[in-house]
Amino acid sequence: MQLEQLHIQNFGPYRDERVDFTHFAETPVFLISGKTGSGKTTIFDALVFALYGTTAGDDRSGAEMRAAFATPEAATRVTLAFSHGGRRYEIWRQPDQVLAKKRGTGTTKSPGSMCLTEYDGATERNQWTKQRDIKPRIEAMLHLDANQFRQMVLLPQGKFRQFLDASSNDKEALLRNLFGTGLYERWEEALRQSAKDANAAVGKESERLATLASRFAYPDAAPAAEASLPDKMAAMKAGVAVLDKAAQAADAALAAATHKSQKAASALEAGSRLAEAFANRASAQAALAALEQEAPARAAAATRLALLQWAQTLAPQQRQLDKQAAAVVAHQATLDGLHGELPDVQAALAKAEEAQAALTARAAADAADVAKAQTLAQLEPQLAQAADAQAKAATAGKRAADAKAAVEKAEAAQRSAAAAVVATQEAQAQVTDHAAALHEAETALAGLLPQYRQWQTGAKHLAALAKQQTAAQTALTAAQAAADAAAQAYQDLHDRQLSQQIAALAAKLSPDAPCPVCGSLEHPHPATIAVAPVADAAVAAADSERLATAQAAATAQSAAAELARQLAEAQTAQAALTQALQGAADRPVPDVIAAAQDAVATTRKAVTAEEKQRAALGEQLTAAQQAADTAVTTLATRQATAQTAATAAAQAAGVASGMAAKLPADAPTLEALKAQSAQLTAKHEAYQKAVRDATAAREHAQAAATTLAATIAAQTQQVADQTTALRRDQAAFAAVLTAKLGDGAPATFAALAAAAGDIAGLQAQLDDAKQRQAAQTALLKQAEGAIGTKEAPDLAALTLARDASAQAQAAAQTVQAQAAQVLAQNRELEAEIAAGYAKNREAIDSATVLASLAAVVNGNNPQRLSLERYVLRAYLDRVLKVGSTRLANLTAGRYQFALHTDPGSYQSDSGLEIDIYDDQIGQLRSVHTLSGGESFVAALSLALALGEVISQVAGGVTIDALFIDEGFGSLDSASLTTAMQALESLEGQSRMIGIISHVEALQVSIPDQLQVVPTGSGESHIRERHAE
Amino acid sequence: MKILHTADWHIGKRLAGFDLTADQDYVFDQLVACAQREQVDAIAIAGDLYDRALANEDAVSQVNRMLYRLNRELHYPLLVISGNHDSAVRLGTGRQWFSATGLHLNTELAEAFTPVEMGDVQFFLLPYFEPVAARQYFHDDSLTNISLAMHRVSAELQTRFDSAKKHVLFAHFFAANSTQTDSETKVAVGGLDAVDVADLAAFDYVGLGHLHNRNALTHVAGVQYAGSLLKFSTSEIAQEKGVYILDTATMARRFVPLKPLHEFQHLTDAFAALTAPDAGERFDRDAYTAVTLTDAAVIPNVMTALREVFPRITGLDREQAVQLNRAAAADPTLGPLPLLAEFFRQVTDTELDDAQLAFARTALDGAKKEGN
Repeated sequence: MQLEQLHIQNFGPYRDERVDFTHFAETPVFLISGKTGSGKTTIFDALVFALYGTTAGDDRSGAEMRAAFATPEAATRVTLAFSHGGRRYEIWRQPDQVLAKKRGTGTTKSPGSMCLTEYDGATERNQWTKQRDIKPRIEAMLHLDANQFRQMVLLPQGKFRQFLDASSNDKEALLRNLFGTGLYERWEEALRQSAKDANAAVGKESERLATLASRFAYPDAAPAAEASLPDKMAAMKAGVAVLDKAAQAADAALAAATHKSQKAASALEAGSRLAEAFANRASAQAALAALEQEAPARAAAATRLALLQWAQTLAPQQRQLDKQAAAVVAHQATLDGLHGELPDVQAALAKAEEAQAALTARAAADAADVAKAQTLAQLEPQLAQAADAQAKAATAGKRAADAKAAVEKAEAAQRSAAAAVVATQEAQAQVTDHAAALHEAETALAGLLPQYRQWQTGAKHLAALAKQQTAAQTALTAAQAAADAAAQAYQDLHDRQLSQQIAALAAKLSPDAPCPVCGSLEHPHPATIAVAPVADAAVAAADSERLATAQAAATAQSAAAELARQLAEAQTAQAALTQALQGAADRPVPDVIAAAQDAVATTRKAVTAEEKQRAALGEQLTAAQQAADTAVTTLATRQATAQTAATAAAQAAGVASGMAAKLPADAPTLEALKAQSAQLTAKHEAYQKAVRDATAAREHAQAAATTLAATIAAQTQQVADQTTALRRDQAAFAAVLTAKLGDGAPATFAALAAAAGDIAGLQAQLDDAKQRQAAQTALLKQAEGAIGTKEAPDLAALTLARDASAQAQAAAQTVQAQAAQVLAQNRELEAEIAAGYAKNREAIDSATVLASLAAVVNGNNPQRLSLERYVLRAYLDRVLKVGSTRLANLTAGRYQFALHTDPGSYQSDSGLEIDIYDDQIGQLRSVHTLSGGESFVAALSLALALGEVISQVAGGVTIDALFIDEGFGSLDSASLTTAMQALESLEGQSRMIGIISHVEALQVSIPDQLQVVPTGSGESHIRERHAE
Repeated sequence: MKILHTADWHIGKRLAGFDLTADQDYVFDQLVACAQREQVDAIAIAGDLYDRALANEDAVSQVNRMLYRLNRELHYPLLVISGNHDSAVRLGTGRQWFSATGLHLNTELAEAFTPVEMGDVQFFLLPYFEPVAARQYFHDDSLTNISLAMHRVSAELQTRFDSAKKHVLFAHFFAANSTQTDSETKVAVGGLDAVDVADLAAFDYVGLGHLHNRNALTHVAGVQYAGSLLKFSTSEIAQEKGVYILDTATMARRFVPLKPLHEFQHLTDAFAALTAPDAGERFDRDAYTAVTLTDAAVIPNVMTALREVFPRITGLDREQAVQLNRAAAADPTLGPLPLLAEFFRQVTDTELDDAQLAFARTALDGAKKEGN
């Protein structure tokens, strides 16, 4: 995490202050300075509040941090921008606070609110406003909760040693988050839980087995309840053997009882059978006596039965006679019917003969139709041939016409191709040609260019000369001015010297002595020295300066003159060239040349275009000529085709007219002929069918008449014969009856015939009596056989004996079943317990292994080291190695960190304890023994090393900031020196380190500062200061 | 005229916990003897008389004793300025009376602009000052560092020059491109708090205090650090300590070494050699001694043992860091199962068996799932 900006509003002593941490990104160590109580640590509080909603000080809540001076309109809010994992984030929070109502007057309690926004570049990606969304995100980002964040990022006031001194348990909690060893913690827990589960399962099984064991029914004395399961199992085994023996005895008793019971039952059965034989004999004898008494009645029944049976034998004859009589009557009726049909049949015959005669009269007309049809059939092929020839001639004619049209089309194509050739040739001839003009223009330009270059050089030369001349002129003017000045100077000096000489002379004048210059005896105004004295040397120098400058002016003059001459010469030469180049044109030379170059370019472009056009036309002409050639060839081919087609058409027309001539003059068309012929044929066929039908009808009527006559004759004969036979048979039957029955025979016979239904009853009656007699006789014989000489049996006694033995058997059965059940149950129980015990034995072994593993992994081992702590120890060791290097550097090699190797008294102080190696005693000692300054250096080394190692470990969290809070004030001078040296050595750290201090010495050594300046009214401002 | 130039007495300083009072008194006596021998006309002390701004009573009375001796008993005029270790206010108390006896003591910037004139020489006594003092004095907010401030101060001092006289400056600061030793307060930001020597060119002689090495600045003619009277750190062991005698007639200077009560030595040797029975013959046991051991092994109670031989041992280090016999810690990146195997071996002295491994694997799968 990299801190970026912090914006504090109405929080602690700050009204509206911003801290831009990015300004300190390049200066690894910066100082947060200010007087005690001015609010230095509050900056860090604000940072933590923004991230977690609580403050760094354990005793101050976010709401309590609301500025005392804040008005109800001013909300307390802290906003922190930071980047993490390539993303930017901004988070702000407001604590619970009382604010002015948005509407109306008065105040209202405003609950805390917050907002975390995630940015991708400048784009907002996500936003959360609920603590339940924000908290896990912040913790997942930093891997730290609020307390751990403080511990990691702030070495707090007076608590440098917090991490150093923390118990292994507390260190574990922090390092777990930092190094992500939660997996090991969960692993330990999983093993512990597995062991617990396994143990519980084993216990449950043991309990179940004990319960089962308590259910075992011991035949002898049961073992004590607290006896071990294996002992109980041995007792059970013995018990099962005893029970087995008892069951076998019960089996044997049951078998004996069963045998006895079966015997008693057999005796009872035999007795029963004998008693029954006695009963049978008595009943048979009684039945036979009854039958004997009914004998005379049975004889009378037999006689009537015989008479009835005789009458029954005659019944068929009687029925035959009746049948015959009915047949005679029926035949007579048929004969009468036939006689009635006769007139109808005869009328039908007459009508058929009449129809036949009518048809015979139409035979001549039919013959004529047939002849006409034949004539038509002969003419048909001739007509077909002629029509065919006509069709062929029409086709040939059409083909000839098509060919002629194709010829005309080809002729037109050929003409247009020829025209295209001519047109292209004309177009080609019309393309202009500027080649000659181009050549001419190029030659002209080539003549001009060398002259032009010469002209350009001349112009440059001219310009240079003009410039030189101007310079020379300036130099001349300057030289002349210098000469004038020097002359003037000399003149002045000279004058002054003269005046000086005059004054000198004047000074020497004596009153009344003549003036050596003018000879006057009076000296009314003797000259005085008005100016500074002038030395001769100065005058001489000025003179030589005057001469020298005059010389220089002369030289400049001649140089200027020479340059002017050269300029004039060059101008003349240039004018001549210009004239030559311009010719008659009234334009500047470069324009002339440019015009010439343009002309050449334009012409060249035209020539190129023309060439292109010509080439295109040439290609076009070739194509047109080819098209023309093709058209000619096509025309010739088509003309030949047309010729052939015309000839063929003429031939076909000839054939067709020949055929037409051969036909008769009145010949109908082929279609008419065909229609007429079909009509005739149909008419003829209809006639023939009518003839056939009439003949058949007449023959049919004839046959019907003949048949009817014959039938009537036969029927008449048959009636007569039957009547005769009937009368004869009736007489014979009457004779038979009378022979048997005498007078009134027919009536008696009729009565007998009517009573035929009694036969079956009589017959059955007689048969039954006969059967009963036989059965009773047989029964009597069988009973007497069974009884023999035996006495009647005592059935009651036998029954009693049988019941007693059956009861005994049932009792034995119950005993046996019980014994078998007890045996089976106990045997099963014993087997189940044995199997369960064996299985549980394995489970117990396995649970023991698991329990010991879980115990070791969870730190229940001689070293009191859990697995996770072992892993953390490895990480801590790395941290200590890195930290040792730094600590050794800071203490001139005196101190190094070392992991405390011996286990502590408890697991909570084992594994992650830190020792200090003190080279001056050559021993390890506890970190708790370090002095103030030393512990500061150690804590600093450790904090930095933690940061370094965490960032090297994959999955570790990187926080690129460390705040070191105060505590320097309480250090003695030696410790302060040590601490200061340590801080000075932090240059080059990759982490941003903020030192919160009011110690003045630090303010001198650390130029990059956040200065907290109190106003004196409870408010503070934050100022940034950087190295100049 | 002969001037004795000294500086950086640091009275009250302790060397690795040792009280230096006797050493400082002893070397002061050497200084007095030198002054008398050389028959100097005045003594200049260029700052850092005390080691601490808030010096303890013993230190105060020791300095008082020394100044009394030089000024009141021996009647040497004294040219004294305060250094960065001195408290300007505390040291300057009473200065208004001192000049009456020839004790010229400047502790504030403003006082520097009034030269002390003796014979044909103007002595400018410029105490150590912060840029803020210059800003206030000149009412110029642009003087944000010593370099800028000194440029301005130097120009101002030159306006007080009497051209008929020679000009000597005594001051206390860090001159650019000087070399530093461990016993001086460090200047954190290079260059900004250093004085450009070009600003000193106007003076005939510049006698400086602050750096403890008299040869800290050798490439500039006429500018000289006096150096401290005693060696205060191992980095100064090779240096010769003493005072300068300046002849103002020629502005030539001459170094006079002073013998300390106890030497300061740095011994680099094996522990066995240093504590051998004949160590007393081979080494100066009375000297302040910094020891660098060539051993790399852990030596129990090494400090106590060495202190028996060298009672004034000031420090102990090693040529190479001690190799602690650390148990090789596990590699935390090995992965769960190998780490478990190693852990098990280490805490139980037995190997993980297959059954345990199977249990561990199952539990690990569960823990991983739970973590997802």
